[in-house]
Amino acid sequence: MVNSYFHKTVKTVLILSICLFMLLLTGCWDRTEINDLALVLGTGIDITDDNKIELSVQLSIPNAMGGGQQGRVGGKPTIVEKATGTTIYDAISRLQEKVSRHIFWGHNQVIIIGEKLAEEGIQKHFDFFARHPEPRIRAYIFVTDGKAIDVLKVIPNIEKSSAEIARELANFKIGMSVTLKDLLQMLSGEAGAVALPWIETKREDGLRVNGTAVFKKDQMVGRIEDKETRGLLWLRNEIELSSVTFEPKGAEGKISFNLLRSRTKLIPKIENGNWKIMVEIVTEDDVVENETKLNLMNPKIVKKLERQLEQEIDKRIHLTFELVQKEMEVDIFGFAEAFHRQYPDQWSKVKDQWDQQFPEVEVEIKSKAYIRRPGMSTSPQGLQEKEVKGK
Amino acid sequence: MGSSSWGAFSQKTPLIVIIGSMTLVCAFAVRGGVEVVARGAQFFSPIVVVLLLFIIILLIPDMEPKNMLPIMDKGIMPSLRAAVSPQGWFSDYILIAFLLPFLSDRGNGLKWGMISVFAVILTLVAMNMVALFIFGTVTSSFTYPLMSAARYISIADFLQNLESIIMAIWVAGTFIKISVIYHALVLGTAQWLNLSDYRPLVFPLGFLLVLYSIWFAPNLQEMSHWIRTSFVFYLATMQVVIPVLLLMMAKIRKRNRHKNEEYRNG
Repeated sequence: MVNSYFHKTVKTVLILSICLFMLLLTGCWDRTEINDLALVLGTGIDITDDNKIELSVQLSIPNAMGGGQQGRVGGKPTIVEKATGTTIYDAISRLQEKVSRHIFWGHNQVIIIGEKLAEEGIQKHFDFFARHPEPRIRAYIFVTDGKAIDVLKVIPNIEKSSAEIARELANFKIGMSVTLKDLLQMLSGEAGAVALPWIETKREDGLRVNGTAVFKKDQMVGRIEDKETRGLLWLRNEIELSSVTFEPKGAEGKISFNLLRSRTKLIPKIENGNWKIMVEIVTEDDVVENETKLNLMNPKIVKKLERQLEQEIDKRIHLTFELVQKEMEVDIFGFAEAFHRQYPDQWSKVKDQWDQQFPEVEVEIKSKAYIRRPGMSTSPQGLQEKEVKGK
Repeated sequence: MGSSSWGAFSQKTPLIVIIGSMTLVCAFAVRGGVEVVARGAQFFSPIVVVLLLFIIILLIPDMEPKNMLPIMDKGIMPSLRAAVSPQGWFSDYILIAFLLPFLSDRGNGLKWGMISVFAVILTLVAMNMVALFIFGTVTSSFTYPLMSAARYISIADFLQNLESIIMAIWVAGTFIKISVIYHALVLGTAQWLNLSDYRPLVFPLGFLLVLYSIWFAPNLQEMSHWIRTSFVFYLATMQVVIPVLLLMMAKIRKRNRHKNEEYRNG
């Protein structure tokens, strides 16, 4: 009798203590509450005059009760903080001294590099973002004129933060769109060249992707304009949004085409020691605007326009080649990889002298354009029938 | 038993807590007998397969098959040399020998064994291809390429940050693997010591397992160094040479016994 009573007590005590201990086991070791976090939306990296890293972050401060992320901290949706340090992480720990919440990197969408840092070399500063478990390698990378912190400080009208604008612009692929993963691939690639989108803060409340920053190894050597960037995108088979406008021969006014889809193939050839690249482009376009008096329902006229469209595209790409291949001598087109894939033996012989070989590579462009549809109108709108050419 | 591949997730959780809790769960499974382990595998395998397919499909937009080229530009030797270490995993199949006596349908044992070998080859190849298609030349610079690949997923700005799925796959997979090895260890020890029941051995050996796993691979660097160097020889001796010798001994003894019997009967 006593024995069973004793057993019962032991059992109850055991169960009770297990229940009590369970209170200590709520959640895991690394638990963090959302109201203890400061989410990094965008990062800016600059270099100071005494060769230190100036790290700036755009922070979003989530509300303890949830309910959106807007309308705190003096009406601003985001705040920008900066700190200087010898390395990125050193700067981050200085930054943490000022911010009362844990700086959380899991939502970092963009990394912006200041012009000066880009000229000094960028490779060593990206190790943190690929090594620390919090930052994501899908963050988009940009280079800006002047200081990176200025881009983060922009308070935009459309989106919640300037980091969001930069990310959406990169998503559009209107200029180059480079994630950290792509950057790491380019940095360790055989061409020894990097191309990053150039972002500007010309207006108070907005950003603009305008051209491309060109790097040799990891140092910025120059910048190409919007127009040449188009040629670059075409060559890298990355073009998605594009409009081509030109004046057809023997007509007044211009016609605009909108790109539907396009595919570019780089075909390397080595003949008698001559290195040559054939660029094959197949593109499909729609007419979106017709200022001329040409009737776009006429197959003959459309055929002629297709030829001229091809020439126009060729011209753009040649423009890029002139600048990047002949002047800058940087292989941002991916020729090195193309040769390596096709001619591994020959490649291993020249790979150390690729810098000298690259400007010598001959380029031949073969483009093929198809004009698919005239749009929602047949003959030019607002013209009398007798004025229309090519009935 | 190197569940040290945890670091990417719970940075601050001590290794011993992770290994300890995993071993505890496995210990319960092993104590429950081989059927519990088998049912566990039956339950987890479809989940793992579905999750893996899910990850692969979501990664398709980011894949660049060009990354594969050039194939074997320095001849076949580098590829073969690199294959030496991963092929070691296949000698793990000797563990099936510990499970075969429990099969109810022994006729199909060989068939399903082979099917599972091919399934493993297929998964290994698929996973490595996915990582290669996405990261190309930088694949080797990531500690856990597949994990990094899963973190890279972004579909319509909405399906993002799916690394926890990879973790679920790992946990389910290691649970089965550790349980099977643990079961073999406990069963083997019990038979070696001529015990009538293996159950009293489960927890003491589990304790040793935890200690050894920490002693053996205190960090990832040592673990991967071991995999690259002595792993192949270790597996070759423990899982190929010794079992083959045992098999030969058994054959010879059987034949001798037959002869003796014939002699006696004759």
